Amino acid sequence: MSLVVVVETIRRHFAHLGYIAALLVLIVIVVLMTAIGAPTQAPYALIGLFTLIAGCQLIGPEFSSGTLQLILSKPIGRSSYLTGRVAGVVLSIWIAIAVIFSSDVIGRLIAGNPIIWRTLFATALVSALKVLLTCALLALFGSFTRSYVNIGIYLGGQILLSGVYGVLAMMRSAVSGEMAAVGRFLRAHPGFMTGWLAVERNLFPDDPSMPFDRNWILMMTCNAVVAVLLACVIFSRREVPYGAD
Amino acid sequence: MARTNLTFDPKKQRALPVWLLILAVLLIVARIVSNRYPVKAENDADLVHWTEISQASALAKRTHRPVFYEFSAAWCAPCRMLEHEVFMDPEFATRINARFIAVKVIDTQREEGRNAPEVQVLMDRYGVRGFPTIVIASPEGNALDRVVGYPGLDKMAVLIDRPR
Repeated sequence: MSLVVVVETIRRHFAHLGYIAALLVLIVIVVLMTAIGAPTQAPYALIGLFTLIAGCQLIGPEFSSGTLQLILSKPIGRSSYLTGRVAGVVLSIWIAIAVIFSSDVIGRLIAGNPIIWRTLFATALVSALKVLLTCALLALFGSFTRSYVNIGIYLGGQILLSGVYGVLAMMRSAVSGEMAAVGRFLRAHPGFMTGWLAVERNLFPDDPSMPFDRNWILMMTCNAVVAVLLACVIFSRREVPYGAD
Repeated sequence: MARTNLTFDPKKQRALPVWLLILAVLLIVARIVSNRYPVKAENDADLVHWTEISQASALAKRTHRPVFYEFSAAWCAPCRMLEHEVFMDPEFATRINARFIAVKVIDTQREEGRNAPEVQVLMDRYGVRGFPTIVIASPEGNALDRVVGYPGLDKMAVLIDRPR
């Protein structure tokens, strides 16, 4: 991992007016939400959107603009560059999480609302790990595409996996009519749906059922590291022709 | 004039990070080992005395207390937040136990493709479409109050303490 790339990525975020404006808006929203006694988790919902906006720019746009071709003409390892970019984007969003956490605590102190530290830390950790996995997946999808196609694959995959599972779950209950044969097949082979659900839950996991769930934390970290590793494998072998789109 | 060496090894430029490979292997092994030892659920920390669906109505009629239904699902994140902030809080749990017959209704539509019949009856009766949904019902089963989503501690306190 290149420290220069990490620092440069964070610097680029802080030099971007949109990032600073988003941080300020986050602070205002969080303080207002905590003042009216909104649930602890509510302010962190904004981080999901923040991650998609920052994460989709990981590698694709640089490819399309021709920046990547210029960078890779320098003696820097492709994997060092990619991991540095992922780390930089993740750290930039983790800074936003730290801002939300601090604003949440300050808002609660001002409004005199109770502070449950264990819940606050658990919620921030869940949010931080979701950011890590989302950025890793966006890096993976961006390693073999151009422009903002990675966000399309990410959102499309999420909708497809969840939607198809819902349809399969309905079909499984069918005992008569045209879907009866499919229902029989699904009931006879429960592993099919279990496997489908496992893929969905590994790529787009639900929140853990309890705070600081060791298995959930390991799943998130492990999947993120494997996704970044796969992204490095693909990116290191990818053809990067000269010229922008 | 000395020439600047601008050459670099293309193989080195495309080399994979060994540390990432080692980290991935270690995490995969840790995950496999950890999955063999499931984390103990914190159900014992839930201080609300939950009653079985089948016994709730009779108990409510006998004690003249309304029923507090919590419609939840295993995958529902706000439900976990509600449990951690409200049902594991001694003060809230005491108030719920004193005023209501508490019933937890868990939806399994997503995991199993269908709900248990008694769960489905309650979900249809109270028109539950999202989770968590809290329904306060009279002992006869008429809905008195209904909240969809976790509204936060203040609104939960109002919901629990409202005279009925």
